[in-house]
Amino acid sequence: MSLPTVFSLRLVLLTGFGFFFLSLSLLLYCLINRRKQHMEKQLREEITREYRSLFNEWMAGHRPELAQPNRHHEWIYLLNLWNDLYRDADPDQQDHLIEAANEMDVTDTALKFVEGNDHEYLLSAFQVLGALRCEKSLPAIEKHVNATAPIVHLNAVRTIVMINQKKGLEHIIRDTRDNPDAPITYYIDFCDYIDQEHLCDQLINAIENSSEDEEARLISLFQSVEDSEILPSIRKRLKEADHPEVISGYLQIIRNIGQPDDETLVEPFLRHESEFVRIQAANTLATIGTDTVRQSLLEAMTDESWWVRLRAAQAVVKNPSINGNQLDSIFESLEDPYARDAFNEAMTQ
Amino acid sequence: MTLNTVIWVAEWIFLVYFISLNSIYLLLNFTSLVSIRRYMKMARFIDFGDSLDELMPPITVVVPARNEERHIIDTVKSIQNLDYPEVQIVVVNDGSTDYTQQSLTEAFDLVPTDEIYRDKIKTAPVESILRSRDNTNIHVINKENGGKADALNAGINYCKTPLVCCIDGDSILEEASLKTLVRPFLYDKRTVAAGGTVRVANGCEIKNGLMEKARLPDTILPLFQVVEYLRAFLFGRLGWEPFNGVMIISGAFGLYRRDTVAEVGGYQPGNIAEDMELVMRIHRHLSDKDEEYRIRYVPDPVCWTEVPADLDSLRNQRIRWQHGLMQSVMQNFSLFFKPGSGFAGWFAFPYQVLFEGFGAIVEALGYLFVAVGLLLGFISYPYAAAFFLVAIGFGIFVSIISFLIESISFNIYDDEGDLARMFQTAVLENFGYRQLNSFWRLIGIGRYFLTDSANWGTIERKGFNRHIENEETTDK
Repeated sequence: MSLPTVFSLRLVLLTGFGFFFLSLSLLLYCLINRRKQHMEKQLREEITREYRSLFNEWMAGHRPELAQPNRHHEWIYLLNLWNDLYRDADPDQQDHLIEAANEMDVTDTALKFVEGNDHEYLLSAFQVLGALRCEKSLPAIEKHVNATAPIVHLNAVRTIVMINQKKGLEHIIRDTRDNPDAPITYYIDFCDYIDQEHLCDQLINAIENSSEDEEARLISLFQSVEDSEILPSIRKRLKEADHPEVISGYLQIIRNIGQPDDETLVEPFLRHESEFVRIQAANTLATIGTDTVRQSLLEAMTDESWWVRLRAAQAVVKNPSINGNQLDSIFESLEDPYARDAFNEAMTQ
Repeated sequence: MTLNTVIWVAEWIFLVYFISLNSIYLLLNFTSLVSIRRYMKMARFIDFGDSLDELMPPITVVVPARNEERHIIDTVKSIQNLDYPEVQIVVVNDGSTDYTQQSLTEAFDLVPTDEIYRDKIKTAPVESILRSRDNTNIHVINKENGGKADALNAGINYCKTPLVCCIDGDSILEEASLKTLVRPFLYDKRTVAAGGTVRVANGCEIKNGLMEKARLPDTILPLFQVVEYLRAFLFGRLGWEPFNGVMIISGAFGLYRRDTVAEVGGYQPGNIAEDMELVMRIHRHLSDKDEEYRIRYVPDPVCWTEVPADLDSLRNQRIRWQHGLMQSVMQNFSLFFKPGSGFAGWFAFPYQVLFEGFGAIVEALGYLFVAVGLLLGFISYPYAAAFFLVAIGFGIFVSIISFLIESISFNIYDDEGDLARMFQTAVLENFGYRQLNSFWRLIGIGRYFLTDSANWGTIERKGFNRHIENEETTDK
């Protein structure tokens, strides 16, 4: 069958004109839609402007009347605005903003959003509820802790930490211990919201009941700890540690909060079989070390690993008790060409 | 076989091709309309200011640069101006012979650094690594010339963040572009790569390397390309996205998981369309591993690029694109109807091969067939005219759908009369411009077979060429 038999000229022409007609109709729709969008944008700007000025007055300590938005989706503009203002406000202003939020029953609306699954509503609501320290929202927020969307999961954990440190830390510890892919770098940041003493107690407790792999992950959470009171526990764990990652983790903590007398504890790790541990040991000594470990560092400068040699050389060079002339004489005394090279590199830096 | 049979067969081949292609377009139109509505519903309220900053993963932006002394400082400054919590900038000076390195050293007070550079992906030798004293997030890798892909690979080797963003030296970015592009990684942990929409910068207002105000260009060639880009991104890529069928992430601006890119071996030096080839290879590799993954497309206009404003440059660009497309599809041909490759291997990739790759041959033969038919009288003039009318009508319809998507989503071109001008262009492009494009694509295919014929059937990577012969790839 030839084409003209299958598709008559009339049918082809009709199809062609049909597409033209359809295109023109869509063009008209585009124009109408554009106008509609413009109006929506205006409305959004109006709401934001109106509430901004009201919230500004509340932040200044006045209490003008606050009405709830009329339409459901206008709430999201309001919540986003509130979150923005809250984040940049000083503590007094934040208190006033919380009063304003309570005046508008923001909690009830935010709770409704948390019950739903619309990500954008959820995330806005998390922020507000976290700032309001809304305890009654915890069960609803906890349902999202296992969300597959990383941003929802992380936000839920962060909000729980802000509302209830103990529960939040429990979530962080559980996930870090049980999940090899846990987002530890984020958890370290969240730990900043947690009281140091409480953080240290719970972490030490968790570590004591963990396997080596779990311990290696949990140690990372100590990065936010600045309290040197945990040092005795860390020293004890380091002495008992066997797993290279665990040892490296503890060495890192000692580098952050350790004291000069820890160098005797750290120094033997310069000769550990794991290159990673030796690098960490040299790094730690570069921060806390004194002149007493110089000989060990000089030996480490002949290590088979370039990184260990360099880090050991840096530890010597960074030592404030060694002056320029002494550095020159150390360099002269080095016989090993690799050690000289590492030392030279560290000096150049 | 009689002449009549030949004509009959040819008629049906062209018709089946025409109907198949347009049916795919209609389906893509439909899925892109659904996708954009869903996306806008999600993105409509995204206005968290900085409240999610601490949840955003750090990103390394890799900028390959060869003889870019005039633009490189502005490019780096424009990246510094991006609204993103933690950005590392790695400029890879790919053996520049001008003052690129000196300009960078002077502008950012660069000093040598001992930071780790792991040669995980083999590249041309790295000569030195410098870091800015004033802005510690700026790094410069000086290496021997190896081409754009090689330079990007060196940047990926140096990258220490979980995500790496590869851009062109002349990309013009939206201030919030990184925050927009990182979204798929935050919402779905299966995401391994994401690309955004690239728009035409000609005629726009640009300040300090960032887009200030979008305008339509005044001249016709860039205007044609505005309509083309809208079509390509807003219904082409958006239509494939829900099925994990995105086959191209523009080299102008793409975000990848560093470990995935390193795992597949990075960009392929020697490939003209290294951006497309990488995405196809990721599809191939991850489907081989039977891994759950997603390659995402973000419809927000995140990056702007200057398009050719004269016919010669446009011609070269289109020939090069087609050549690169052919290289990419042939090098990843094992993805074609590959068991276990899902929608990507069964639909999206075959579409690239059959319609985007070899389609130009069918189209060119179609034009030839109609011309000969009219001359010899086996096609009637009214019938040819009517079919031409359908083709134009459908072409305009497809363009209008992308205008519609643009209008219900981002509404970038909102000046009075912009829509009318775009409509006018969508009509005009059917008279000459489209045919010219088919012709250039045909040359691109020819060039592939004449210069790259040795690559027929190459599936696995053969290694890394240090010296790329193709000048267009080597010199950006």
